[in-house]
Amino acid sequence: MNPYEIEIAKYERRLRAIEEKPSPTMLASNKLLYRAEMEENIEQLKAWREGKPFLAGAIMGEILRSFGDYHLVPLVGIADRLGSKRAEQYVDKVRAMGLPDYACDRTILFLPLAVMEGELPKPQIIVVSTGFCEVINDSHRTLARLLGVPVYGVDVPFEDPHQPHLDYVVKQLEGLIEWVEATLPGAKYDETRQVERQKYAHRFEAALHDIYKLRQHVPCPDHPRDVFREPTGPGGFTNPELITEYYESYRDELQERVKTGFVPVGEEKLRIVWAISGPYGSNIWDYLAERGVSVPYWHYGQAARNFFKPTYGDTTEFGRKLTPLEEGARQMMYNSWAGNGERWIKDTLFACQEFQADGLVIFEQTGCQPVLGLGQLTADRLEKEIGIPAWRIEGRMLLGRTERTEDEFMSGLEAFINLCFERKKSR
Amino acid sequence: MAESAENRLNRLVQANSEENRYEWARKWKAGGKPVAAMLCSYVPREVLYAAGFLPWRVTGVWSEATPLALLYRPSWSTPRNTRILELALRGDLDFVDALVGTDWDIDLKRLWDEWTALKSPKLSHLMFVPRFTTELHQATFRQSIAKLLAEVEASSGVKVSPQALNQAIRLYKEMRELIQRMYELRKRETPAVSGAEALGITTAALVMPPEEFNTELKALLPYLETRQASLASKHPRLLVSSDFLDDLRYLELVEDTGCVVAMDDLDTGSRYFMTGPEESATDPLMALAKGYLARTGCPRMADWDEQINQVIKWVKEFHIDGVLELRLNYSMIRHMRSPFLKSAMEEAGIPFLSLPREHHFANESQLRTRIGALVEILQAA
Repeated sequence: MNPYEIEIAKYERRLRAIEEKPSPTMLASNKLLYRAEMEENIEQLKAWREGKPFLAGAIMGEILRSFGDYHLVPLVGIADRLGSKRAEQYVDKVRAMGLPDYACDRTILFLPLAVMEGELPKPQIIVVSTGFCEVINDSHRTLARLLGVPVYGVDVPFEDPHQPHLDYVVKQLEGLIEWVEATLPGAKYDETRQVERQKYAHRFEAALHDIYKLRQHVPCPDHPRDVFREPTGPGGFTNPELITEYYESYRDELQERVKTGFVPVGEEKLRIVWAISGPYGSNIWDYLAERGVSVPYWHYGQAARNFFKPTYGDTTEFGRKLTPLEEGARQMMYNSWAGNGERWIKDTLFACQEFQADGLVIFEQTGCQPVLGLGQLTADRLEKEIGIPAWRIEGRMLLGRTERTEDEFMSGLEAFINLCFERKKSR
Repeated sequence: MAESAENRLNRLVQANSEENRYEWARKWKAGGKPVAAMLCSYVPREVLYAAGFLPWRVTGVWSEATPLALLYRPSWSTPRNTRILELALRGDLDFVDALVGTDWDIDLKRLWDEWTALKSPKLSHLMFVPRFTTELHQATFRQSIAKLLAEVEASSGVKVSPQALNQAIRLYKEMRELIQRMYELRKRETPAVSGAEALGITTAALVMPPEEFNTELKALLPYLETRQASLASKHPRLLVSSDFLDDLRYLELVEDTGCVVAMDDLDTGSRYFMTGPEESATDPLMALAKGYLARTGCPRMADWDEQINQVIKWVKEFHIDGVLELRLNYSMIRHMRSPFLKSAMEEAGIPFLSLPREHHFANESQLRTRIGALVEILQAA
């Protein structure tokens, strides 16, 4: 089975399971998410079989979708969903290709898949960008060379947006438009299409903002497992409506939970913020829920932007309404792990305060360059400025996951949670 | 008695050795002038020099363990940056008045973050360096250089005039020209200097006051014209490609296997010195931006084809028999480019070997075996 078929089967199973035995602690709106994901996979598989054109890019979908009816191969998402067993097979191939196996799992594992005929559609062009995870930028660039497809890069400065840098990114996006139209037969940039897409993005971000706001509530109305789910915006979907509805419905459900006092972890005894990544598919979230530990906030590169940075339509930052391309550019410039280290540390500390955390888990994903070396600095500042402990733990989301590493991780987590309880008592 | 030219050359080659490299900074400071530590070859030294700083490229600790830095940096980070942080945390770099880093890659950016957070140098500046070289990117790099200039002016209290900038550009241009003349002498059948000596000279240029370096090399060039490097073998001729390579022992080891390193593709060597900024009566900052972006790029730049083509050009120009890539461990972007360098070399019919290396001199036996095998094959060819 190719990755699309595997995903479709997975979501069918999940939807069936929800129908047959809905979990009392998980969100009912997850059904919408699984449906949206399943439909997107069906859509992409169909398009691939019909020979329709695909693009790939480490850049916002809203822009790439403004050129026409193109499908986007979600390479990082595909790597995320490989599962540990397949991930181990693919990392062997990464080594055989002469590429670094110490890069973060999700940034490289798609490379062998994407170059193997019959596994994934070949994109006609690849667009890359710095300003978020640069390893993803580099691995997409590498893929373009491996596949022999044209690549365009947008260079995003690491400082917070200011007018000259906004102009710099906008000019590169204008260059992207010219390049795509010249490179991709039939492609024509349509601003109306981008504006339409941005409306969905705006709805998505507004709902997401409310979701984060609701998670601040004590006790937290969201289950740790749902919090640790990377939001995928409508830009990643051929049909944006259903996924946007999912986020709105998710928000409504959390609102209802707050109203009725439903807390998925039972009595909330502790709140921790989780940072960077985590071991996929492990039972940590259920373990935390069983111990009455909420995880109101998962902090990763884009999380702060989802919650407390200026969003679509904001006029306060530049004192005026931005053009569609400027809006796109601004979104590319706010990523917690694209700036200097202080940006990441400040955003982490801010989140811990805002979400009233009793502790912070820093899951230092092997090969995650954006946060390389910031763990101890963050932990020290957290202790000094907020007075809560941090647990730094290095691990991988997919690779090297043995029974022993899982046991070690769980016993470390248990010890840290115990510490947080003790510290909370003494505060 | 006047010092022999050979002794003088040896002193220059050893100017960035672990024993000597601090001396230049100490002397400069003794004159009441500040020292700026540079973390990367994209920092425009001319700006720092024009503001009265000694632009001093930092080399990590070579000979000892890194217990302090490892509290902060994971095992998979580049050892060069870990070894620099160790020095900073040990207090060995406390004399530095300004720290200037770039976003060469995230690893280097994070070294800057760590040093800044833990040691709070008087001035600490992180420069944005575009990854592309078009006019738009040059103009943005110009802004970035202007920002650095404003910070060093504020810190030093020295207002840098366009004339002073041009004077610094002229001085470093002279340095580049002198080094280029030395590189010319590497084209000979028996090069005037070994690869290790050439690296010694170029790394000396990165820590010595520029006038002093220029005086020394200018005085030595007539001697180099007549000199033949003492080498175990003149054949095969290798080009070594790497980043942040500053420990001469790596090239001594390579040459010790029975070859000569007749050319390099190093940011501490040809990539920095073979081209550079020109003076500009109207806009010296733009001249710097153009000059620094026009040089042969490090792998972090997007123009991989041009970088690789330049290596091929050097192979022809310097009569190279094979290319040896010494990848700095955990340098992700170098590692990602590596398969393409390999395939381009294969396509061009150039024998190629890529090996990982530490920052400090290590894994000697393994490297000797692998490089020795390449050399043997090339000798037999």
